Amino acid sequence: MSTSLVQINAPPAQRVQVWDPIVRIFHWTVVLGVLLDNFMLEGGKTPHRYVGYVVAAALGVRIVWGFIGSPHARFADFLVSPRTMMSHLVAALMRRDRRYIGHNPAGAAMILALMALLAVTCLTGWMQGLDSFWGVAWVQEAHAVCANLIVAMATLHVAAALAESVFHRENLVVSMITGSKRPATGTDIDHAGPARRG
Amino acid sequence: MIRKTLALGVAVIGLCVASSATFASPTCTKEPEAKWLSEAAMKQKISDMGYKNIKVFKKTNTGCYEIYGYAADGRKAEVYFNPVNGEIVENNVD
Repeated sequence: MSTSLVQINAPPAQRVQVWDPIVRIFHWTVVLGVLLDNFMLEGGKTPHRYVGYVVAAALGVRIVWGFIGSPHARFADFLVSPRTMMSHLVAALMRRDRRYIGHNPAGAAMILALMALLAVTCLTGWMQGLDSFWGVAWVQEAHAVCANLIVAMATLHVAAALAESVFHRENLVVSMITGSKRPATGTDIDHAGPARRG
Repeated sequence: MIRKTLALGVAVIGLCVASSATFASPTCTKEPEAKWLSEAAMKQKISDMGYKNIKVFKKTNTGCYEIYGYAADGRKAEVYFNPVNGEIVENNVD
């Protein structure tokens, strides 16, 4: 495994653009925001709050973009039934999963879970600054629990993305930076969502 | 490259978890609670300092009395007190 995955990836001329700029900016804004607010900026202080507001705004834009954005950015493109997700997970654990160009079903579930946790974390963070919730313990606890869950889920997400990068011989981290991926061939699936499966 | 990235990721996460310990509440005293001011005495001191509309008054597990309330000028205040002498250890005002 000394061969670089960057070298395995097809040359640029043969690549397709998958993740549009809003998808990528959202992704890395959340990464940066979660790292800053969890590990560097003390809770309650002004910088921590403004990072939270930026993440909340990015989340709002991304949710709207999930309905009007480029094909692979849309929820309808990658959301599948729980049954389809389970069968994908089982196949992935046996390393027999098909390669997806857009988000695969497990990734879609992770996106929904992280978006929900981000929303609750942003909401409870904002609430702590209101007079009516000042010092209220359950709001503080919900904020802390959700923030910790985000870190745990994100760790799982990174591990899964790296494992999938190895198994499907494609550097998914670089793809989330450049937006491009190897085109669909063979049994690859371009769009997971039932509305678009050809 | 994947292994290096993975190792780096684990290192970063480890570092982050280690550093997050610094965000705990301050330690105010190591003295046993027998030496602490009574809650009533502490509340009186807090009131004398000008804090008002105290919404939460509690003991922390780091040896503090902590309040969520309002400073004399009306701004929100989260304050940690040394429970032995009643002095302010940390004052977070909005």
